[in-house]
Amino acid sequence: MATILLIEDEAQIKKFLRISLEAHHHVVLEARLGEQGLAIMVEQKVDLLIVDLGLPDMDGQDVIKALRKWSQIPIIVLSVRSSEDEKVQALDAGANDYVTKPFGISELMARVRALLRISDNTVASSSKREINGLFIDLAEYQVKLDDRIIHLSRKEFELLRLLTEQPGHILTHRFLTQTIWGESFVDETHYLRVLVRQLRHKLGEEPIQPRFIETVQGVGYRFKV
Amino acid sequence: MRFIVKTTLRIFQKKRSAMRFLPTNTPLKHYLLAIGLIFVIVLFAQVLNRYLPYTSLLLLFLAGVLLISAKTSFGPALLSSLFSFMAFNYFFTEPYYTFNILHKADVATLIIFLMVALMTAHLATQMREAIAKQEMALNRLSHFYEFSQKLSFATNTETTIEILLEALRRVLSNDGRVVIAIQQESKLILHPEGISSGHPGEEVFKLMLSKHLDGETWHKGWLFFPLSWDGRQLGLVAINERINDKQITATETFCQLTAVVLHRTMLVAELSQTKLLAETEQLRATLLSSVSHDLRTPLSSIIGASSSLREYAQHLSTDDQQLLIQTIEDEAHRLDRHIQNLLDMTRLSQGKLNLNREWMDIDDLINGAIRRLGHQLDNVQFELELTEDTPMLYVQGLIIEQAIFNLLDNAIRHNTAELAIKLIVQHDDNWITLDIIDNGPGIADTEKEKVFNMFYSLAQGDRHESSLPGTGMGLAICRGMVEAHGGEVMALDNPYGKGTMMRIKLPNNQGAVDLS
Repeated sequence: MATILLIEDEAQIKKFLRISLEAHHHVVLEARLGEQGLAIMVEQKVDLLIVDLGLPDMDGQDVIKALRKWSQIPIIVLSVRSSEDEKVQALDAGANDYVTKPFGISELMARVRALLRISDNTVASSSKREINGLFIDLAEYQVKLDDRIIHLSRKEFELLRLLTEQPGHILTHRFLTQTIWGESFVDETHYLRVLVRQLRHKLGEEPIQPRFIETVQGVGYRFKV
Repeated sequence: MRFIVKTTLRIFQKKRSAMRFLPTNTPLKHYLLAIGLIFVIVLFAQVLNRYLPYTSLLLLFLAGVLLISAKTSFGPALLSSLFSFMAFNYFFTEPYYTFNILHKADVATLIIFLMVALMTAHLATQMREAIAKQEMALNRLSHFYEFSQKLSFATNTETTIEILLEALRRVLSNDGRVVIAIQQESKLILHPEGISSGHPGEEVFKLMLSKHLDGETWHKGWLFFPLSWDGRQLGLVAINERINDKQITATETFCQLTAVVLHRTMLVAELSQTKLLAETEQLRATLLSSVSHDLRTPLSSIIGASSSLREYAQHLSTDDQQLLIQTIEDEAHRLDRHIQNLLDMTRLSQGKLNLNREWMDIDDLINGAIRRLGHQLDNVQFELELTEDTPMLYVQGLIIEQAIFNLLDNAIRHNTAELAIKLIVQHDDNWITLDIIDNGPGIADTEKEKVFNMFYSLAQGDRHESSLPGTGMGLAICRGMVEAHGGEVMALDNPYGKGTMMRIKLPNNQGAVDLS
């Protein structure tokens, strides 16, 4: 169905990823080094990239930066648990999501599915969105949940708009604070926390099983799909 | 009269030799004072002479001599006696203004006066000296007392040596000429610190040390005192100055006192060194056994299950195959958890937890911990009590999430299935409290603190079958993480029945900031 490029130096990981992805009828291209991966990207049409941050020849971050200069394909990053900063950095550099090693294949597949679906139908361009029973009319400034109108403040509406623009994508704290409040508020993450709490409250979220807004600890938020 | 003068001179000389270490040089002004006083008395006596018999005036002179003897030293006292004698002779005996004496009685009076005056001077100065000596003795005693008091507070070799140096400098009244060499682990350390010249040289110190001195010894212009205790040669004190018996005695006393303390501080240092080594060794041993047990057990299951699948897949039912595959996955997750624990523990024990604090919603932290538990929660009832007005926490989210995860993980493993695990969040102005309650066997009062001990839990490992609930390192790590945030973790009894209530207390910082 889709062509997926895998840049990873660990043979065992490459093996199980290839088997699983091919089982889902995807075409898998493999590269062991960052340079090889970028070369493949130039030559062939690729729909999605999965890249390990620790590569033998170059930093995975640099692969993302290089790629983002000319391509907008979805990128999933593979990283180790201990480095939250690394993930945030990759996301800010243009990655769309990440999976922490060790991971279960279902976790990765869910990410792959979500990203491929979004790049198929561009939700963002229309002025009306409907996700998970939540109806948003951007032109009318209106939000309806299960046919009940919800009144949101301007900032709450802006947050919801950003999150639903790319459902399933992680939006980093930095990106959200910067977009909603401006550059000088980048470090004031508590504004964002409070805003998310208010929005969740209005959307009637269960505190520990949120239906719409998922927290990605230490990184940002994601609208569930 | 000559005889008397000679005797007193002899006394005077004897005194001097005994007084060598008292301030001996009588200042000139004492002699001037003596002359001046007698002069005043002569004037005064001239006036009184009109009203009193002239012999009574001798009492005035005697009073003057007494005053001078008491206030100064023997020299001026002697001078004032002679001066008085001559002045009286000159001014108040007939014929006046000559040194001749008309009346025989006057000669007798004058001789008696001179004897009394000299005796007075002698006795008074003796008394003064006795007092001065006593004062000095007292002074020395209080020196020793102060010294030993200071020493008793010394906890290490360096401070002990500092105290000795200071005391010796006071005794010698000539600083910079004292060098102390201490023998530590076959090395020679010289004090004052960093001294490079003006000492006998390391070779000499080594030579003197090898001689095992038991008293002071001269060697090439230096006087060496041993610092030894209990037959152990701890070091040497070297003094480059001619010093008298009293100074030698004082130095010896100081050295003996110091040696006792040095011996003690060196022992303490050796002991703590040994203890540290033993602790490191214990940590290493327990870590190794933990690694071999906690990491090998899941690996055994994984290797066993996967090889079973490869060899016998065709003979196994689909259910059994699924069961084996599930084992592999579960055990791999367990392995991952152990590794995370080992990493966390190492970071905590090295104090390398650089907190990156942010304002966090407690909902998110609990949610994150629950998500990470995954299907561990499948067969467990779980109740959450959380009010909407719970303040934000100023913490590093992932670390507190890990702490909550560890306690929930612990609770799930010990809970008996029929009853729910409870997580109750409460807050007041100072604290935000998370209580995690299980219905397991509970923890005995004597074990409630021990379960948080790193060594203890390490030694216990992740053994589910041990008499104590198998906690692994989870609780010790949880406590370390929460304490790093200024909070507390404690084990309590389940207030609603059987089981344990683990309590996390985190400071409520929200009052300090306006978040609206």
